[in-house]
Amino acid sequence: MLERDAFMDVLALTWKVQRGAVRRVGSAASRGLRLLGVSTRADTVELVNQVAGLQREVRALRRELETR
Amino acid sequence: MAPSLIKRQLLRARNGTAYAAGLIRPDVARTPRDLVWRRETARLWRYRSEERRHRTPILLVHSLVSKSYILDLLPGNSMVEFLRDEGFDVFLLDWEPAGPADAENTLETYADDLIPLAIAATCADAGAEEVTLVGYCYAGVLVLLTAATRDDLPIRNLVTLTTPCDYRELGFMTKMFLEGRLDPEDVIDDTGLVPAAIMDAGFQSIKPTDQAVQQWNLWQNLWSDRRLESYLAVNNWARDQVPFPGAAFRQTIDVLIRDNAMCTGVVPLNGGEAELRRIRRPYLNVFCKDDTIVPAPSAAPLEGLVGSRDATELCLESGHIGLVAGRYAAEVGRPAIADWIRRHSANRKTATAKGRKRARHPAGAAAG
Repeated sequence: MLERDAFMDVLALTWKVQRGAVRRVGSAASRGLRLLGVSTRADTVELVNQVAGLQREVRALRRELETR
Repeated sequence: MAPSLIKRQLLRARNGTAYAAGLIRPDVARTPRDLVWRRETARLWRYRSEERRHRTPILLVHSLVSKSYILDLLPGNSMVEFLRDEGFDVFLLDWEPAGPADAENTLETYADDLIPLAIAATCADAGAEEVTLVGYCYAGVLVLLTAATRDDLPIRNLVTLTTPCDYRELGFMTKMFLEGRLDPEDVIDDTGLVPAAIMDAGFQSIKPTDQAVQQWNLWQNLWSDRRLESYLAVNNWARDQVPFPGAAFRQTIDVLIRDNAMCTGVVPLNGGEAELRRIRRPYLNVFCKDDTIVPAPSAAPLEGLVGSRDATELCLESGHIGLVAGRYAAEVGRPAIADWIRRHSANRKTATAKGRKRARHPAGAAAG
């Protein structure tokens, strides 16, 4: 049953619709919260990604130092 | 002897209450060890031993999709402990759960960078010239890619345990991606990782009835402290997933699943190609007949794809976890693997024996 094409098609579509809906609701909520001056999940994620980018730069620099 | 029915119910009530209150936590990964090297998320552990009889250390590389304590589950039920007690110098290359900084890690990060560095660190710490490289599950893919692209590395023997090769045989989880129903971006989150919850859902989807079966198994084991500890250790591990780096996940979907590159023997890597036929070291491919995560038909082709003249296939009568933990592992799986490694660690003559071998689950039958 699990590996039937129709079942997998419905499951994938459900997943995509659900994920899309959550994103749209989250995005709308973020816009509203920003108007009120409140930080949102999107802001946190952006900050996390910035820190992660810095960590990657530090790693790259460390490797460059090691190879010199 | 099992206690009487009434006593068993009382023990179930006691243990069930403790379990429901979260007071029973199996104490896993207890074999004494020391951290000897670290880099980014990689951690290289060396297991303490008073009696190391074999010169070639074993470097176990753990998968990126789960936690490594399955290899050192409980005292008396541990792959690591068994190999150590067989006189091997055992190292474990473990991975800290990937964080956002690791989201851009690719297969090359592991196969062409961290694993070679860990091999060098193992040789340095053990004072050895070569290692026996063992990859468990997805790490088997990584060590094969390492061995296929890096002839210069001091790898004496190569062992893969339940390693997927033919991704068309992996069933539901890969079919969702194989035929384009889902794309990697559908499951990668805003930090660039595949969340642990999605990894867990993917594995649970392989056997959707498993959760109900496990409740029954829990009831059956609840009266015995020892059985309950083993049951919880294995089942907690099965649900204890870790995030997966998004870049490596995209490669897994595009190259390994959609192009089925492992099965062709040529995997695009680092701007070039990793050709499995370039692997000339003695090779042991271990897989399990009852494995639902990496079914035997998925793992079996590997032996025919490597270029080693000494390639051995060992098909065991167990499941994915039963290969490394449990009674069958203790009686058949672990001794057979240790026996092959022992024979191939002895001297150069045995390590280059000619001919391919096939073995079907009897202990020690995988001799090279």
